[in-house]
Amino acid sequence: MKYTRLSAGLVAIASLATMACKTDLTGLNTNPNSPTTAPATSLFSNATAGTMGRWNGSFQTLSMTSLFAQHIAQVQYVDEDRGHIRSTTVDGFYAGAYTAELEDYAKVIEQGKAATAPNVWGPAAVMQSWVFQNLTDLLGDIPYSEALKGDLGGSLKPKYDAQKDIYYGLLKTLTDASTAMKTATDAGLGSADLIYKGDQAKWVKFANSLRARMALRMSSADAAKAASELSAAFAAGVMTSNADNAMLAWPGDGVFDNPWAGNFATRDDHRVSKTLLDTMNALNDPRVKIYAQPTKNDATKYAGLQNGMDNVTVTPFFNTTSRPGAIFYPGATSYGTFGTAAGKKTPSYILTYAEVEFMQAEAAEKGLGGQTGAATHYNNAVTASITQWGGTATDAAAYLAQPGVAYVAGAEGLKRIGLQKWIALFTQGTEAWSEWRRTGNPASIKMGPSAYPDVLQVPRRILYASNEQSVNAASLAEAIARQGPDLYSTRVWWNK
Amino acid sequence: MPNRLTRVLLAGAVTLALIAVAAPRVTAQGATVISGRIMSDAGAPVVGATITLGAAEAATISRADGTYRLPLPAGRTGAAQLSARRLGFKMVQQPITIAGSAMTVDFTLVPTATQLVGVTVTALGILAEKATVGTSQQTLSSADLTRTVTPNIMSSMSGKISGVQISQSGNMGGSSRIVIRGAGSILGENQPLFIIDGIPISNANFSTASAGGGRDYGSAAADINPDDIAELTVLKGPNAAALYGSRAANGAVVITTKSGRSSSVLDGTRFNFTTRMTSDAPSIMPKYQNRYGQGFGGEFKYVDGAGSGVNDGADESWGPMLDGRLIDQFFGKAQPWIAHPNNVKDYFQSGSTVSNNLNMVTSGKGMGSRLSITKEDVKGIVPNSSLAKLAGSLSASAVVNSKLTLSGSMQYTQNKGLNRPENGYTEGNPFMTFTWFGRQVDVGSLKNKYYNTGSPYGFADGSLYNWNDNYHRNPYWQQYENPAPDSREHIIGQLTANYAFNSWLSGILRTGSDSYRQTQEEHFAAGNIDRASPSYNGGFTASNARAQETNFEGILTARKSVGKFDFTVNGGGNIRRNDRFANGYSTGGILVAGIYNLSNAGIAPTYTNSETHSAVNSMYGSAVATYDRFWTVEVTGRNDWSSTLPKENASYFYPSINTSLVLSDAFPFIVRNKVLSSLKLRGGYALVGADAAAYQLQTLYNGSSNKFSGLPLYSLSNTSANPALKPERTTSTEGGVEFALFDDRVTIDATYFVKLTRDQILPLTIAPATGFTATTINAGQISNRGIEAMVSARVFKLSNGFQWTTSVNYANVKNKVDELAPGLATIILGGTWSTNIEARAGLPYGTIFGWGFKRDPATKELLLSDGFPQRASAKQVLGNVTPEWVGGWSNEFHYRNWSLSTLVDIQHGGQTFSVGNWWGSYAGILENTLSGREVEWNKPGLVVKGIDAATGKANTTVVTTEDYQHSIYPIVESAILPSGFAKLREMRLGYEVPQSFVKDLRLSQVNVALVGRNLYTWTAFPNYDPEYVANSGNAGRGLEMGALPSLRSIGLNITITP
Repeated sequence: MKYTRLSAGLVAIASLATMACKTDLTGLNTNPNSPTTAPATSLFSNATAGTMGRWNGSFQTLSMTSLFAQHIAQVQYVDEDRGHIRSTTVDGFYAGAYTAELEDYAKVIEQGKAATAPNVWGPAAVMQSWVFQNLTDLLGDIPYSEALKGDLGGSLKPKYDAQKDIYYGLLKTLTDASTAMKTATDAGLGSADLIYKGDQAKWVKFANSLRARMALRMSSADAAKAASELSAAFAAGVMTSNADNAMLAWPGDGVFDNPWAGNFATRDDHRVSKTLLDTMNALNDPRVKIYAQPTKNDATKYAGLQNGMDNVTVTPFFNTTSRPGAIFYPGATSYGTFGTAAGKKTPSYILTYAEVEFMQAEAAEKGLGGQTGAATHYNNAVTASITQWGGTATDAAAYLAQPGVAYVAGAEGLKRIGLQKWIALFTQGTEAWSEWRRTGNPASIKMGPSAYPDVLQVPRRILYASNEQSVNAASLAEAIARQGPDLYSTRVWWNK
Repeated sequence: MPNRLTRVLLAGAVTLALIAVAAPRVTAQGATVISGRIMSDAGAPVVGATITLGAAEAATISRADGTYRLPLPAGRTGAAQLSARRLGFKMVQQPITIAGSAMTVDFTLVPTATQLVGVTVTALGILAEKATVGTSQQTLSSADLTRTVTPNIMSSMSGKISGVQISQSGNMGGSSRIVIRGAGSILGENQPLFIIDGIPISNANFSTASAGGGRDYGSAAADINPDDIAELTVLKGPNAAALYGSRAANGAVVITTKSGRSSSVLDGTRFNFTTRMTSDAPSIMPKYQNRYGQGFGGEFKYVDGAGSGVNDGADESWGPMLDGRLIDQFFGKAQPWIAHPNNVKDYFQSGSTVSNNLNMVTSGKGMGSRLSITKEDVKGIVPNSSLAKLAGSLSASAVVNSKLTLSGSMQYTQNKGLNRPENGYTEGNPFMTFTWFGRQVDVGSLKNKYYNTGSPYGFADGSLYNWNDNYHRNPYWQQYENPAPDSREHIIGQLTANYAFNSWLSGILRTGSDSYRQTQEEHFAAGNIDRASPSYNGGFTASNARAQETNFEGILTARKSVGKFDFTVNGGGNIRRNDRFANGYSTGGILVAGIYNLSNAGIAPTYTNSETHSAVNSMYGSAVATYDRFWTVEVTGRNDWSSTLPKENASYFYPSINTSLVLSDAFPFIVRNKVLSSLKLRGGYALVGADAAAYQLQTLYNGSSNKFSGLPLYSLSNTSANPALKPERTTSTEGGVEFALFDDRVTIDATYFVKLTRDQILPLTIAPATGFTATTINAGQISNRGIEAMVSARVFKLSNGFQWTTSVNYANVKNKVDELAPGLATIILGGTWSTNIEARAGLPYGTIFGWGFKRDPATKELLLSDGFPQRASAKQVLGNVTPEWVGGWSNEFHYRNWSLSTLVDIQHGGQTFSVGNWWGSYAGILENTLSGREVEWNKPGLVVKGIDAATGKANTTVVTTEDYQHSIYPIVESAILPSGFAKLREMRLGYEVPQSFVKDLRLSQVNVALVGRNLYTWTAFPNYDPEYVANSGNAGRGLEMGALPSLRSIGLNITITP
């Protein structure tokens, strides 16, 4: 009896022990919620939506570059307009760009190349190049050649490459993508391509146009390379109408809304800049009523707000200056009704036909890139911009007929190209500001009256992400040693 | 040699004799059997006493009821000495004469050194004599835990155990963070494992609170009802917890619940009723200025509260002086502009906690049971916030026969919360709302008016009514029209079968389960500023989680004494399985107001769902040998097989060894001088392995329930996986001493320990240019070296009954991040406003890293530009959140029926980034912002001390306080503040109603006590509660975000025993 019980107990314990010793529990560790591979199409759609939300988003433009470009001014919470960009803003877009869309585009490229499908990897390479261009234009030297290899055994502290090398690399990527897509026969991304719905001819034009933009941007830093790239880009075929515009039309469903409309739904911090509206009003620009709304106090008046005032001096202007146009408003906001729900669907632009024509006009005027007929390109550009924003060809013709707008050759022509391009780039704050940095056009952009003492001039770049001091300090130090102090006044390579 | 041989033979004989005794059918017939009972002088049976005949002719050990039975070798007769001894009691010898017939000899033992007496719970719930325990542990009794009304058991441990740091949130039902002997893991769990009646339970953190918002729903261990706890033992090092496995690498809190113990006689049923009620108020309120109202530059005029007037969109207090001048305000035109000094205080209501416990204990022959029901209702200090808790527990045990005992227990807790206050930088956090505030605002005028009627400013009837329409909502509307209900049900149950095969071998089979279900909802009314789209009629979020941990355990225990050696050997195995399911959905836009249902969504809802499964199988064993009851050596070993590690690394073994030596028993002469009354030394070493969280081995793609115009979306995870993870390793070495002086009037328990955690599994924050925010690696070493000590003294005990005992505990832990991954200098743990809490190599865990002032390198003075401070060119180390030492001081006074106890809880050193002070200064609402505007808003102004960067000379430029405070914005240095404090944590004045009176009421006992908690705080930390934690995570400390302070509670406890 006793030994039977003892044996039974021992058997129970021994069987438990045997179960406990079962070593292969690894099957339990397969994540049932998320896969280890995902369709390139869904990665591309997500990356594109994310990219546009970031680079045309409210933090990027409304709290930074559209203020520098003096398209927009702040009427409340004016720190950024006085020169202090929150380091959280920079930390956010820097980390977000690399870890979200740049990495996801890299995975699409990887899948596309493995499948020999240029219509899959080509669009991803073009979009990735555009994000890198934004990043380097903002900051200067950034991680590039060693970047995006965190899961491939690559460096966990990627070095910062010189901007020149990044530009050279991106120009090559765009050339390769354009060439490959031109003759590709694969099915591509189809409807998952939120920009062109799988129209490979348009991707080729976009790739070439972006290549031309970058070539022109580096034209004073590296004239020879710029000239050859510009010629090659134009020769390969650039955008020829507004139907070629690289842009994202937002669904406006409350989840994916135009980012300005999303911001304006609850924040009333922004007005159109006085620098912009003064210029446009003086030229009777038909786009004034699109870019801006009448002031609250006087419905006949479109008045801009001086950039860079302090809290106290800015407050009387609250109702005497113009909010951005109704097409950027969602209808109901937490402080009143502005625009209609259609404002949530207003597209965000990456690169437009108008910009391409401005590039061609400038090239023609400078005798670059095999271009001629500066006036025609200029007229095409202005007309394209006005119609892009909802104006008519008639509006454009009347506008262009004015002596202050009509094209004149020479230095004045370059000035007018610059001025009109700056007007046309509304909502594309980073491009507008970069063009001002490159050309000095318009000269009316000056730091506001209450600029912080460490930012007395309009920024020439923005400061590096502060978290890099914790996670990539040595690489950062190397970049600063090469490029110059991490200040707003330090110029990037193409701007030197 | 012969001597040794004799001893071995004798030992064998004793063993056989013991077996013989235990085996009923083989009992020796005819020989003399001595039996009897060993009692203490207090009348309690003494278990485990050794009864020895002669030198060591025969020996046995007394049973639980104090009885013993000593059969003698056949034929032994004549005179002999029979002795009874047990550690902690004086040995008693009694001469007997053996005459060949059964005889009865009883003993009464008198205690010696009380400190080392008694049994205590050690790992695996094994009871061991305190004297034989080689590791550091400390026990609290039921009375220690329920002396005052506390939010949860962790709060009630605060200040009472050396080496334990407990940080608490001031939120109703909020979480507490408990760390023993300093944080060891860089990013992993640093809190101990909770064991209740042998079953590990979840201490899941339900807090969604972060720097940006969220609510603190508390943590799972807080559901344990203090009323049900019989005893709580904290095993401090991994040494003590080596057998509990990985999760006890940070120590273990072993809880034994009260049970109705079986007794040998029918004992009947006893009831006990306790009621506790307290009134709760904020213990600390910010000091606000009352000289300037809302606005900027000394100007304000209301038009629409959104910027149309003069600075009426401003939510700062740099406006006109509050001198009664007439100014258009939100509630009417040309109203007197006056201070409302208590406008924030008046918003908070008086909170209350009412807790009633009824319990019933029944015991009888071979059975016992206990039923306990607690109902607790908390009314929060924030309007319309409440928490209702219902806790029931049932435990029962039954002695089936002389071999088999069955027992089981179940705890059920139900929490229903409403509007737990939001944390962090969000509109729902009352103190953050009042950080951006107009000091002239009378909150009373907002209390009963949420919507405009007949507005003098032309607002439509029914539109939202508030002092500011730009960035804020009426704080009452926020609470009453945006309710956030939550619920949690938590069930812990275990069943245990104990089987005694014979006198020396027993086995336990135990199965236990801990499961909870948690729901959280937040409803947002139309107009909610950041959570509902203005185009819709509100929005909502909901999330549900259920989780279960099951354990199945079997242990065999053998206890044998051979000569002067006592052996205990344990071996067993455990199967653990964890399963968690979660889902959630939210929408920022509903169509019909007030219907918070998915069918009413106007914006496509976002859905999430996930499940997580993991398992660990374990085999373990321990062997304890005690020599002559004064020297004990224990070795343990455990092997785990974890599902979360790669197959080749999934199995890992970890051993420990510890020893205890009672010098005062080994060398009795050292206690003869009457100074020292007992002395014990102990020491140990342990290695503990730990596995990873589930699903860390593969880099994953995350889908989204949101579709872009119907198109599916996927993105690569931001964490790059590591398929070659190894287990973490924590080694711990400790040495300690326990001694008592002056006839036990003073007892001292001190430990020195070194804890090293290596090969940590880190979701390492990496450069985002890698394409990932984090990667999982094995790296790093954190060391914690320190001492912990507890000194207790019975200061005096007068003949008239007046008695004073005092006790001090202290722990000083030197924490250091020795190394991280190769070439890695820091790991970010968390952060806000570009200010990080980091683990930096060479510095203590929890470094605060952020933007400081630009300073002159030589003089360290501020370098100013136009009279304003400037930001340094790079971020720097600004402080550290880890306190230098923590301690507690408790006192107890007794006089006749009265008792008074006090507890002071101290944390010394450490800093916190106070976002409340930072923005409160920026916004001009705190009292310190009066400096420089004593005369008018711009007079006399400030001349900031420092050097003018342009001239190199002392600054003379006068700036306004408003411009100065605004200029500081990107710099956080001025808001890194020392967070040390001392709190009068508990005070209790108790009175036991005299028996004469109680008997008239037909009751047996009535206790009445006046209790108080958090009665006073001494701290240099301005305006907010330095003790605050955002959540119980590793970065939950060190970032104060306009914290709700801990509550000052004053109330009454009444216990009635019929």
